[in-house]
Amino acid sequence: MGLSPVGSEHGEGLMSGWSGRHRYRRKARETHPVTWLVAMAAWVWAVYRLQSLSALAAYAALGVGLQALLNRDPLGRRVLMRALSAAFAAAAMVALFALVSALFADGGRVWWRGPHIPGLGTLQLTSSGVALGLSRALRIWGLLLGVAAWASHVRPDDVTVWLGRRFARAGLTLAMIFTFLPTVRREYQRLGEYVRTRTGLDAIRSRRARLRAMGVILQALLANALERSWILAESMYVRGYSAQGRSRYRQTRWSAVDAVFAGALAAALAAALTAALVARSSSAGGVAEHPTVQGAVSVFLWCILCGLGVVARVGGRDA
Amino acid sequence: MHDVTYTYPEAEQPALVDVQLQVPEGAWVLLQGPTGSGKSTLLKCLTGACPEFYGGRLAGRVTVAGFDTAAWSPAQRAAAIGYVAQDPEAVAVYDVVEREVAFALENLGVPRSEMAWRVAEALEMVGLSAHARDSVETLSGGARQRLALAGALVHQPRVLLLDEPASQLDPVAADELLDCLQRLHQDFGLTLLIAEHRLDALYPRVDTVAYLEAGRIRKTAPPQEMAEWLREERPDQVPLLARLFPEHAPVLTVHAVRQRLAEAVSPRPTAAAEAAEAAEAAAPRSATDAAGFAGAEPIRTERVRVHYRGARDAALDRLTATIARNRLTAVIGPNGSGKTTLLRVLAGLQPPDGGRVVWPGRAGGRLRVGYLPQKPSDLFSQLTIRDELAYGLELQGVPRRDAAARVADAALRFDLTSQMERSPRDVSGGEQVRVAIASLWLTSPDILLLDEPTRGLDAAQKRGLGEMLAGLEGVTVVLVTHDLEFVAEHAGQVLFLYRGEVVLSGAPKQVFDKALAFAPLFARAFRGVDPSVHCLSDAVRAGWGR
Repeated sequence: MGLSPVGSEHGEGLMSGWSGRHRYRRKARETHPVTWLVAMAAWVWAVYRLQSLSALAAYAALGVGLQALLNRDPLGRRVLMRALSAAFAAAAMVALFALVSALFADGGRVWWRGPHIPGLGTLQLTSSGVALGLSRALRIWGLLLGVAAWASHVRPDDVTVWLGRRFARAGLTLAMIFTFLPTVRREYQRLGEYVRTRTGLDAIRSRRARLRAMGVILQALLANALERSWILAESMYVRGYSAQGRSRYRQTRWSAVDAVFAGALAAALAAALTAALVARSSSAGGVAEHPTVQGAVSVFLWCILCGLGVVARVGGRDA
Repeated sequence: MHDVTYTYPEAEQPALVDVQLQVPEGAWVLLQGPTGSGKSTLLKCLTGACPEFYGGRLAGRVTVAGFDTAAWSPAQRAAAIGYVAQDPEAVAVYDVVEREVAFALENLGVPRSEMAWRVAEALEMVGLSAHARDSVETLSGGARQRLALAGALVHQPRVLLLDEPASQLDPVAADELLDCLQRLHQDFGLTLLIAEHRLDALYPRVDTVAYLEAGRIRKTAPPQEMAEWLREERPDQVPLLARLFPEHAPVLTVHAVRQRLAEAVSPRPTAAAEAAEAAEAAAPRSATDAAGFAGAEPIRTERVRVHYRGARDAALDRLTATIARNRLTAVIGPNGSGKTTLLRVLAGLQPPDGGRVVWPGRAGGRLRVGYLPQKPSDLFSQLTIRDELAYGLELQGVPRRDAAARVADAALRFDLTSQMERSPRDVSGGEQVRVAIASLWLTSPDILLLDEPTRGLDAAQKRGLGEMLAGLEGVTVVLVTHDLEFVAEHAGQVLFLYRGEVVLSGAPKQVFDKALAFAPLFARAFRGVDPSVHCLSDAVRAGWGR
């Protein structure tokens, strides 16, 4: 009938139930974009709510794990190696951030006192300063690692699902911008190479010449972008984009796993929010900077966050 | 189209004049004509982009199935007419293949329950079912053009319009696309209008050819009759194979040429054969002859290895080659064989992971390199061709007065004098290549590296490019191309790459005598009959063509 190759895409091995672990790669089920959105909300919310140092450390470790699981590795390393690599990098950044943060914090037992820096105060290491610096560092790096892993995994088209039918055109515009940006980045690099070869690889020595070359690259980049936008706009017009009454193609089905996962996350969020509101109303007006998540809610949340990694691994897109 | 005349906004002359064209349902029509003859504008008038999107004035009527399209809404037009543009990379809206195909359905408000089977059908028709969930970015150029085709077919339009759909593709991908169109035409009875320069591939497939010139349709006829007319009236626009056997009816396929040769309808004239042998003996076509290697020290690559991060195989795998100086070396081979990587290594843009490039010495330093990318307009940043030509010199610190004199000289040499105040992005594809090469030539390169320079050029422009490259004295030209006719006609040396190494090299004659799939049309047609023929000029020299 068509032009597709004859024969099963899955292969006889998979169809007969034998996966041959090292020979066949599991075809991943697609996670619904809404599930990803809820997962991100939970991740951001958790960083705001978690308080204890051990919880934050686990949170950052989970961020490292997500990085290793979700991100494609240009060097083709195995998950464990990728996790170790991400962990070392994250540990270095956390240590640096924690040290800088701790040096300017007060309170607790003083371990070391350094010189006075005008405008910043006296450098010192204290017990509570180190604890505060470490918690801040784990919080920020856990958040960044998780968000980075998430951002590299969702697709630009997911934005159109998040914004729904009501904001379909805005969603499409955003999706196109997200698709467009990596193209522009690659093109910038390519144009830079052309300018270098055109002027002689070693010709651009002076700062003025370098600035001029940069200007040329940006000019060409702009001209290319305008040209491409015009062609795209014409193509969209010809395909009926200006017509009224758009419908939407369903790219990913809402599955039972999505329902369980997103529902559990949403329930955890709601429960924790309720707990926070109860704690706030029972306190004498003061609200802690980072109210602690208590008891069962905390355990439940941690189960969900760990589940995130598992679902992402099993149901991710070419994870 | 009934007496259609169209003028672009702010243009003094109309782009189309009194165009009268009737396409029966289920027909396949080729729009042929030199660059700038109005082929694309004609298609845009059919889609409604002219004048609805571009503005301008349209006189006359465009009807589809008896309905005046001017009275239609954009949605009605989109429902009846599918359109595939030149550049497949510029028209993708979504990131995922199946969503991209469904874009027209979304716009037309097709219910969700109707979408899935339509998308499945469209993907199957173009052979992309296995890539439904892939990212558009991961597809090859050929697959992206087939994706655009699926996007234009998904709502089952009555007419499909294609504006040079194969101009950005290599010959293998282009053939795949044309095969796909043939199936759509034959199996599904789709009405097709295509503007394209690959005449030899299309003439045997289409029902009718319409020849445009300066915005007017000069003739509409079946391919055979059109080839005959072109031979008399526009000899430079004739498909290559139709130039053979000038005393007989034109042939349009390699198979037909071989049949005619077998029947000895046109036996090879003895005098012409003798002349051909003499000319062949005199022609310096061998890469290993003295002129290339002894005249100037060659450029050598010794066990050059390049392995991109994350790639399974090396792009260049201990590649050793010798590139003759002051002549044209063509690098051919399948996609992914390392052709562009070799060019990047020679340009100094890609440092090798192993091995080395041995550059011959030059008074005052190492060889100067000029690099022409696949899309020449990527080099353009200035508003006029004059500024564009002067830019490289200015950056090199050449005084303005000297630069102006050299620019004027280059304009004369490359026949750009009348275009100097135009934007380099507004001129035709062939002129863009000329501007780009002129601007590179001004920087006095010793070696010129060209990546697919014939892509999207018509026959006359290709010939012009070949003559221009032959006229660059003292410049070594290395070009990566899939255009084997161009290689056979103009190259002095051929390097055949496969999986990052040179697997066959030598003069075009030596390579094309051995290769079968990687051989030009004429070499395939004359194999076993007249081994001296590899290109049109060989055939003309041997008395087979005109």
